[in-house]
Amino acid sequence: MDRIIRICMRVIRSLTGERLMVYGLFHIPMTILFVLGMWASMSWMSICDGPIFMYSGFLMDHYHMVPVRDFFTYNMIGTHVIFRLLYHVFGGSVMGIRLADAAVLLTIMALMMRMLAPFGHRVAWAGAVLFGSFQFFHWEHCTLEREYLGLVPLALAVLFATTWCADRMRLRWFMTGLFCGVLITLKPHLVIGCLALFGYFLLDRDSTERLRPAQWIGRSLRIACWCCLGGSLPVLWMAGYCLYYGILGEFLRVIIAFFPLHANISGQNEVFNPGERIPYLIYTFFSWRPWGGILLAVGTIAGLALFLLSPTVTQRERKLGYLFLGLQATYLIYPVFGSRFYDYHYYPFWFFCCAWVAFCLRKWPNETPLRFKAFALLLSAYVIGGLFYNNYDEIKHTPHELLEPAARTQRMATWVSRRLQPGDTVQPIEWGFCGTIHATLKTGAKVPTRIVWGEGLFHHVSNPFIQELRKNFVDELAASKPRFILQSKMNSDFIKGNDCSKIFPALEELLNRDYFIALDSQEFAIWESNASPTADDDRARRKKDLEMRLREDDSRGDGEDLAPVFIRTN
Amino acid sequence: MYGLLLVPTTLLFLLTWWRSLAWDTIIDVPLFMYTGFLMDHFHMVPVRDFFTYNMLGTHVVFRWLYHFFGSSNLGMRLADTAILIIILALMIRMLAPFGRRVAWAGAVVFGLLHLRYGSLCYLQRDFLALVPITLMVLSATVWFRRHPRLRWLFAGLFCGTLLTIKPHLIIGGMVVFVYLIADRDVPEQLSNRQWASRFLRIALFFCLGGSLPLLWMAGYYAYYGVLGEFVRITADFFPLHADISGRRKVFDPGERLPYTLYMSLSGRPWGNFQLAMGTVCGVALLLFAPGIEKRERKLGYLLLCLVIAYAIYPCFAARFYEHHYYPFRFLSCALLAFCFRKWQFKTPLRVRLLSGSLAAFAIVSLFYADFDAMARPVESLPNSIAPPYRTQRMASWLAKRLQPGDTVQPIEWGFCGIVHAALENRVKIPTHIIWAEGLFHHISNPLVKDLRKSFMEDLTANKPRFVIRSKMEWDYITGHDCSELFEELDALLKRDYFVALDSRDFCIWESNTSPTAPEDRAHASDTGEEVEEVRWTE
Repeated sequence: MDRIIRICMRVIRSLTGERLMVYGLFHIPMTILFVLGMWASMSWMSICDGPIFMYSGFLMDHYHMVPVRDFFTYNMIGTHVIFRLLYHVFGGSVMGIRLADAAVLLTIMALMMRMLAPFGHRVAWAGAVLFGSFQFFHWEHCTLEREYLGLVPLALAVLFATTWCADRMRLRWFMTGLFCGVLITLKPHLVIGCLALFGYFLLDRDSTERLRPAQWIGRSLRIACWCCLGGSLPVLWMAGYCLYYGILGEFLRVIIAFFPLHANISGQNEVFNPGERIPYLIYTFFSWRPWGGILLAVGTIAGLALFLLSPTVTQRERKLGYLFLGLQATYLIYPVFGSRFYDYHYYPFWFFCCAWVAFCLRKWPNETPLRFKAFALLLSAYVIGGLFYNNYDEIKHTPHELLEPAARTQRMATWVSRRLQPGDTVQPIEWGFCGTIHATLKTGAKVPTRIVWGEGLFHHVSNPFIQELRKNFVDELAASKPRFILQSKMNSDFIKGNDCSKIFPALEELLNRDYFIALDSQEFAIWESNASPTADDDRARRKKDLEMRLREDDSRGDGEDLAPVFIRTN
Repeated sequence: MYGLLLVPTTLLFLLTWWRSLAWDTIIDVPLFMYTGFLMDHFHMVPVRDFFTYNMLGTHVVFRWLYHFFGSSNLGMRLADTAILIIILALMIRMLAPFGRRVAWAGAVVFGLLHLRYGSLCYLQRDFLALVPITLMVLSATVWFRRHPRLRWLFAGLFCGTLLTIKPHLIIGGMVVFVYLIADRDVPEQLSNRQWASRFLRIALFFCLGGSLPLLWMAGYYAYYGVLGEFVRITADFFPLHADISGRRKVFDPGERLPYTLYMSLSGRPWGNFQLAMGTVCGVALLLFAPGIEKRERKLGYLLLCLVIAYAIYPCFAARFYEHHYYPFRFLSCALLAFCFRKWQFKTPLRVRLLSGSLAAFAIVSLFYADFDAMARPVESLPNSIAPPYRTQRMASWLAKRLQPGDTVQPIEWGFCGIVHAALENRVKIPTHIIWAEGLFHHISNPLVKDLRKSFMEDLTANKPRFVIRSKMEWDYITGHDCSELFEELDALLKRDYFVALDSRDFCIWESNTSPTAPEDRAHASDTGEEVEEVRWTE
């Protein structure tokens, strides 16, 4: 069998040359595909969380609003500050969000290339392009998610741990700790990766002499001290920010009182029933979800097996590979803390998966047995071919899943922008699926209350914190009287389960008293203030629409409800 | 390894098997069992007495399965169990050179995977084919070591047996043939001439063995005088049938190649990511881990090449149904089981860790992670499509009315469950047609026109008491030159039959001369059934 493989490989090599084959089949087409994907993606509408965070950036940048003080948020300050800068530099338009995504992606790719450089430039190139292509062809809906942004400090932490400041141990520990601290300011549990980095520091010694237990303890304390010193800086910055704006107490209260409620929601957007959480976590942890698809799992295992079993992997590569493996294991566990297992929670995990797939394209030393090279090439061809080369339609069209919210967002934005005047405010009520916040961002309107993420008003409704949130919301709404309220009717925008309710009597009362439905669709309703300058026109138009619908219904012979707004109870 | 993985998984396998005896067998298998019933009970002959594009071996196997186990649900499950036990025993023997841990793990993983993840594939032809495939591998690797000619002959014989089940299954035989040529105990180099002579010698014995099942099949058809008809079906109907995609649609020009490429490169062959990861890890360990004996490596290479061959195999039919991947998944299980190997002490720790952790991850995530669904079928059809309820309804409706000598004509592909209902009532068909989907695609083709014409003639001549037609989209092929309309059939039904039971998914037509016709007509008009409501009627 070896003989047959050897003959085949000799034929292939004599025809093309291995280098030409690897670059010609993988690196160059993948790079072209990546560039095409990036070009095509510039017109893609971003959905879900990305536009919402961009809206918070807009509020901070344009209206100098402060998270926690001026709008309720359970996200870390670092995220909001980054989005403020992204909004400032790129704006909140479709192209702006796409450019911001491209800028972050290129930064990640550059860092990834540097990170993978010890495996050779083939691996570095392949890893970066693979990750970039994934972003455009498989993970489009995760644009500008926090885990995605978190890859920048994570890669920097890895680079400081492995490549940079190699001669200055303390600086190396300090800087790695610093970037781990930055991760906390994005999402606290992202810091789990620091465990792998700490373990790496502990074992990464140039000296071969054995250490006594006391020496090990001393070494671990020293490293921990420098890492914590570095890590404390971003945390202190965050605390300082909150102190400066006088919101430290409120911020801590949100973390203590609201975080546990938010973490009690499953990936099916349902509050856990008693005893349901652990089986759900085990099941999802072991499911296909972390891998996204079979091909990524195949490529990852192939790269990992090659790394562990190849006799020609150098000591330096082996050390780096073990660190990647440790980080990957921690980021496989990471989504368990959030317990929702959304796609983008696996971004750091996928980042290392891409690194392992890229490892298959390593330039193997001459002394490597032929079967290693054959295995690596065949698996690469299967995985990369299956992932990127067999669906040509992908680069031609906007991804299917992005179309639905885009149409809604566009409809709402057009409708509102025709009527909006300077100083008008708009209140969106959704979690992020309907696109009402994105529409508000597109119109450049300010939110009149502290609520941007409206889903928090509808779960754990008997909890004192939520009751206060609901009360404040209605009070602020009554006081500020926004001209429009965009209300989602989509099930996915509301959390289900115990102590959750879509009904909000105080809000309904206010809406029925001071507002009328100006536009009612299957998935959202736009309420317009009775005091709005266009109220008479819009009410008349609405009445006309309803009469027309009534006539149509009469002619069909069925009696449909005229104003089927689901939230009404009276 | 034993206490945490193998013993509990074996117990889980036994528990699942016990529970699986009550699970349904659906789609293709009741149809094949019906042919077995017709052959066993009415001594009917494939091709002569009913139209079939399946190989004779399949029908004969189902004839004997029907004969031994009957056609009840439990009977079919017991038949499946019997085949599974044979496959597992052969698998254990096949994997024995890797050590008993690997053999045990391979058998238990495949057994459990078949019971839980393969509930739509029970007794499928690709599953039955695992018996000759393993026998072929065993003949080539383990048995007849001292009698090379016997080894070549038997390997060829089992390869030929595959041909009598599904012709393109012999792709694995090609691999075994190459293995037999390459597998030499003597280290000395052979000249090109010697290689050529070795090739010819092995080919001769291999073909000799392979020709026996073929000759048996040819002899069978020649004996019943339908050899010409069989060859005609193979030459004319096979290409039409192979022109249908997995979406039950006739390929448009230029559509086949991209579709085949897309399906081949997708994750579909593996079915689930754990099997994919385990297989890749098993292959890597086999290829790269130190301390693997030459004998193991040789067997491993053969299994690897067979896996590749059977990954390509579904491309020939181009429909990529789950059961088409059975040989691939069987061999994948064998390679996954290699992760359970007992490593020597000198093996580096990282190799043992990779092997053990992957084995544990695959087993736990496949069989233990979903506690609620443990010992339950994972893959099943949604209730709206699953045939058992429909089958039961039709079967009990028919059972109340049928009298000895009555015939029933089902018109479906296999999704509605009509043939299964006919099987439950042990009633004969009045025409040549069991698989009726062939009447509705490539309708301008002369063979299909002949088929439609002879079907109508048989139906007119034999006047079955009931005609049951599926209304489900799944039972009809769409695309170019396909139509659900069948004017002559509609005319005959309108003239000589009335709708006795009309449901969303099927329609039972009863003959006007049926003894229960007045009652059923009255009942149908009471419940507001209208002939015009039937979907395909113009």
